[in-house]
Amino acid sequence: MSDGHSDDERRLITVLEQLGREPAPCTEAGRLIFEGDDGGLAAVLSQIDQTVLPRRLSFCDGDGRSLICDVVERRIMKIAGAGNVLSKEEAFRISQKLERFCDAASVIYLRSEILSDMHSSGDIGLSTADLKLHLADRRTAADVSALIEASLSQSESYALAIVDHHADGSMHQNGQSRLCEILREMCAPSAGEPEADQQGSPTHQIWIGSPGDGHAVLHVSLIGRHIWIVFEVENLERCVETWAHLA
Amino acid sequence: MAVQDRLDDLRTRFKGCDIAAFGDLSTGLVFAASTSKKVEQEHLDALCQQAKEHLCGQTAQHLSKQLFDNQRAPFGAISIVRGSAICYLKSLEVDNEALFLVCDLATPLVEIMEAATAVLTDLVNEA
Repeated sequence: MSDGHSDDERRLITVLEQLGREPAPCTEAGRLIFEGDDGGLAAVLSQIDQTVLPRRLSFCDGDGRSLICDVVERRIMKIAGAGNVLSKEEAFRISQKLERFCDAASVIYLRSEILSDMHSSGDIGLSTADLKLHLADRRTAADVSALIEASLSQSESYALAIVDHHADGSMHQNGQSRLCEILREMCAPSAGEPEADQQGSPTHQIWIGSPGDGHAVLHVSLIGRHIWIVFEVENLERCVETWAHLA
Repeated sequence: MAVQDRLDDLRTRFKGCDIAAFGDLSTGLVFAASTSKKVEQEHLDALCQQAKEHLCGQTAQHLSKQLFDNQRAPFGAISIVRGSAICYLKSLEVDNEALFLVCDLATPLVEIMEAATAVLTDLVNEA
């Protein structure tokens, strides 16, 4: 048996800590659950993790942005704007959505309303543990590697060409052959290229042709690996969304 | 409209934009900047130096020759750094003049790049 705290012990500790605190102020926007520069994501995850009975949790940042989650038995079943009941395969996308919302928020308010017609079978929906695998502060090398593969897979839907070059000389390519050839030439090491920073964090750089050209190129540089992607400029935001979580 | 007013207008139109600056790539100096918080001139000039590397460096030159149609340095570049996007835009009319933006990743990048292109064109034409 592990000496570490179980999830239930952690939840109990959190609840006991909260009992000793002043109740959070309530406003028209809801109950204030977070205020400051850092910790919004933890506050949102904590609320989800404390919700057992079916509830619609509406998180609002005070600037009109909101994130609405239907939660039961500590699992997000639905999230507004994300379609049907969620599955584990969507953990990556939803974790990004949560991160983006929380990173941009300096305050977060919560409104909670009862839902009567929602159930969990335990294998549908997303738990906070599912999400944490994809969140920045929980990453291990294996997580980063999995994120890169997921991002590469997502990029295939809009990329015109992808070249993935490893330091051992191996290379994977996909897409239009002429573009792949241009990208392969980029893989020769040169002083001008940005490298992953000293902590090993990937660097991301995008170049855009002149108006009317329509092409853009993404370069993701990691220690021992360079990924090059050509895409159409109209997919710029999609590309940034796919890769920004690694920055 | 004065350069400063144009930059202020551009920055405040986009909620997540913290810096909009106009500079010269050949000297690496920023002429004017609009910032949401106080930013040291050295920081702004460093931004200009980075712009030069990204827009005129080896990779940019290679892409211009091989991929982009205009055979010139790329028109724009974006660095994504820990939750922020640093956008660099190079004038198509005057080689050395450029506009730099620092914004959060929630900012609509295509929209802000289009708006910045219009501002840069006006600034260059009025100079």
